[in-house]
Amino acid sequence: MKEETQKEKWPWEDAYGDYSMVPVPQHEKRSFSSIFYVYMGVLACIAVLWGGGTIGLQFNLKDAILVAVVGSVILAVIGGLTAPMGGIAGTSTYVNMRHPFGAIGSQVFGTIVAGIACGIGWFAVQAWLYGIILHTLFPNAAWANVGVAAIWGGVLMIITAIIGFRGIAWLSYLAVPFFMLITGVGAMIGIAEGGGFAGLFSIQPKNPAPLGVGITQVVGMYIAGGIITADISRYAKRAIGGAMAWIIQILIFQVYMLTGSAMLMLATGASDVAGALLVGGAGIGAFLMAILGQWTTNDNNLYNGALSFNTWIHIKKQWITLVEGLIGVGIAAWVGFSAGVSMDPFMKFLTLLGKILPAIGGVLIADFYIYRWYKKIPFKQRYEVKPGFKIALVNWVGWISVGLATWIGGWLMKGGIAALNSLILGLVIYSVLAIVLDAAGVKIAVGEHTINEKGV
Amino acid sequence: MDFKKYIQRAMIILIAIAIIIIVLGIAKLSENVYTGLIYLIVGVIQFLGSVILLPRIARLEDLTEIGNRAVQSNWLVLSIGIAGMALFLAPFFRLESMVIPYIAFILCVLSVIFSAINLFISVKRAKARMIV
Repeated sequence: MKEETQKEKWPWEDAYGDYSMVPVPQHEKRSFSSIFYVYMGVLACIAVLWGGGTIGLQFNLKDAILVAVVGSVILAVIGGLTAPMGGIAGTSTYVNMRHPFGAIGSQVFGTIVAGIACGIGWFAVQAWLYGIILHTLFPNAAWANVGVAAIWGGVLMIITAIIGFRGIAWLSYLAVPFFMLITGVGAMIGIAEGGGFAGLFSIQPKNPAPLGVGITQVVGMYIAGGIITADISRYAKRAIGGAMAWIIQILIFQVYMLTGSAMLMLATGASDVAGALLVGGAGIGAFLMAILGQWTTNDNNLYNGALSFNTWIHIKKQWITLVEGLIGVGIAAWVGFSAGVSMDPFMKFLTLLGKILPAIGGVLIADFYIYRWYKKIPFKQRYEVKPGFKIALVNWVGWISVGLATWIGGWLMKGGIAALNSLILGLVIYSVLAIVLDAAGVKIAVGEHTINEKGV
Repeated sequence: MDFKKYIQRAMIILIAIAIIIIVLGIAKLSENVYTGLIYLIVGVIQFLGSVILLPRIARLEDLTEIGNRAVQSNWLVLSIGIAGMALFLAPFFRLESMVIPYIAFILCVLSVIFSAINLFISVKRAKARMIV
């Protein structure tokens, strides 16, 4: 009887694990603090500290703080808009993408930007970078050889990603407070080296840059994270909880981390944060930062990649995670063991794929907030799905909007922040096209697909 | 001993450890402001993480709910303890005499061990969730 009641309330079957294709049920929803910690785990990575370090090499402290604040406000707005989609529907970004792009569209775009780019590509790059950082810290240790470290580091990342949300959350609980402290230590080293706060404020960077460049760097560094917030916010107990968690972590902690590492780099003039921390006397803290920072970020790459592959490869998500992880580790180890091999062409290709993501984010925001508002769909029902629900196979307006926005914003426009340009263009083009065509009676949906109880 | 009493006593021990770290921080502020500051930060976070649990479980009777709240506090104490272990003996925080840093380090080790045990017992006896 109880089982029947539960079935009525949650009529799905989680066939692939971790609710990758179906809405997260109420009893699996997590508190605000849990969501906050997981977001913080993604933020707590070396990339953010390196981003802050880059800012520290280009701006004085006052401008570095300004750049960090403005860039973070933009990211807070983007993630603040995408997170409620997951919170309300309980589904991942790639499942939500079925609404503005159709079933095939979500598979194609999800696989390109999350599956191939994040799950395999960036995972491999980050595992390789992990090897590079450890080799820099311990140049004579065999276990810190670039290829060897990439393998064991990659395996650690695969394990937590296979465990799923739980694994990522546990690791975040351990890593986040540590990262907050080590950032503070970086700032302390910066203050000590810079001769106090007054001294630090008076230091001028060797290679100054315009403020716009710094803001572009901050936004570009994390805009992908801002667009796929639903992957985590779908676990939030309250729809708005994920958005609030995202906004707080970005506005307070990203600014803190960027500024802290900028202070360190501004004062020491070193070329990398881990090295600066080690030279500055952070000891084993620099080593732990390297391990935890890459680990917490890269398991998310795998996790998101597996979610997107699951939209068309219908096997247990753990198997997808394992296979994509092993491919990534293989690439990282091969590059690590082959002295002289550069990741640059590979990274350029991934950056190219990544140019599509902001436009997809813009289309998602437009579809959820503007087009469905125009269609008078109540806010809490906008991305709601149930077994038997019919969706388009292809929503051609979504495809065209992403194509145009990526092309114009990513290549034609020379000014502004490329990622933000694409996002805004995607939002505007989709809103205008969808509403005008709908008003003119033109069908924007082609074909029909019925969702079954497995969410497929 | 019932679980609620156990967790209350365990948290009192963790509060005592945090207070000693805070006292060490205050004592060393004049010798090395950064060392004093890092002790204070770790101690205060551990203190708040532990002390906040006592009123949160005072009126609760449901074992699992008590366990869930204990898990939240002990995760915080555990992770900040690990951070303290990694940083307290770092060259940047060295003092002339290394007695105090070693004491602070051992206190962090103790807080990590205690909080890990508390997490284990909360899950085992109270069927608490490791994800809060």
